[in-house]
Amino acid sequence: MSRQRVLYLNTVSRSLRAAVVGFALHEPETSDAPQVEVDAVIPYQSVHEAILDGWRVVHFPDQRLDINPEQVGAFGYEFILERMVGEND
Amino acid sequence: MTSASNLGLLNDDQVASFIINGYIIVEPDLAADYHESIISALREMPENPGGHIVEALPEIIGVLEDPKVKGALTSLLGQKYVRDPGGHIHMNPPLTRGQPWHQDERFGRGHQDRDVDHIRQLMFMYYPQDVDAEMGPTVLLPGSHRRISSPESMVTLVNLRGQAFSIVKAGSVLLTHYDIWHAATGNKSDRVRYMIKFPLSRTQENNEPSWNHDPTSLPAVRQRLDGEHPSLLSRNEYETDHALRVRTWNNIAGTAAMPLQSGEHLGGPWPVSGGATTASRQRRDMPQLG
Repeated sequence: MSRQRVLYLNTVSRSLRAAVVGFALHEPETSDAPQVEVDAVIPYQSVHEAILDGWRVVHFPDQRLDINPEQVGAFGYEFILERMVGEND
Repeated sequence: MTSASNLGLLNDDQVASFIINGYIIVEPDLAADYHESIISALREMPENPGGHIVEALPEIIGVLEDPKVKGALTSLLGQKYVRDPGGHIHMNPPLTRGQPWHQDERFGRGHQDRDVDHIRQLMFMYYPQDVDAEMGPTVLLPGSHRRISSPESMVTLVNLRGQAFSIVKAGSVLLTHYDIWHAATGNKSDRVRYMIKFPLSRTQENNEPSWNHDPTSLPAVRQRLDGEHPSLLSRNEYETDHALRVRTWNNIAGTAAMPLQSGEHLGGPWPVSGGATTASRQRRDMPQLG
């Protein structure tokens, strides 16, 4: 049985080449949710870089209007990626 | 009357830093045994006193009255700031998990209308013991106090570029803009981490800067407000953010307000081959992250 690793990457725009500003990796195992770590290192600088490493995008961020000049809103654009691992991986 | 130097007022550069980043760390002039006595008192408390911190721990007034702390608060909230009702003692015992990212009370109890271009309310966080990386330091996202985000929109966010941790020595006070994104992180150590938190508010608008202002520093302040970003931003966020920062300065600077329009951020080195096409774009794409 293969299982799904899930990686959230937040980027500064909808472009696959945009800089990553946040991430969360959910491993397919019984565990607590990932949390903020003092020594965390952003694993990829762009979604494209993650694709090159074998990740597959399963959710692309929606277009946002972003036309309110008075607000700086939600943090980045959220891509969700997956990578399947087998029992023996 | 306490003189400006004795009061420990901030200077223009420090106020600009606060506007840009949304926080400042103050180290009060209190002896180590003062902080140790606070820890002892906290350990002896049978339960959390909730918002009745000063009644349960009257010694805490010593930190609130420290000249450096008062100077920073006066600088950021004006001469007649007040401590609001409430507050909270955070006890983070060993092996606790971290909190999710949040803004305090941003969506409820009449807080929806808080200004993103002003400093009306601060959060005071006092750490009576050293806090190292293992002890669950508070994490905050510099510059996030101008982002209005619901808890639901933050729920998938975990590690963020530019996140900063309150790894501080005993007695330090972290003053943050009330709206900064923050969270307690997990305590991986075998020690308890205490933090005492109070909200404080401005009660009147400034007619002039309430900090140690020097008019000759305005060009340098403007350069920072226009071009310095603590995190990566999209283009529209970048433009919005630096306008809001100048407006924040103007809302607290009284007679030292500056024009909203400026070309300061357009200046800088010529582009290099293979890089960004303008200096401002280069600063936006490659901010000096703390």
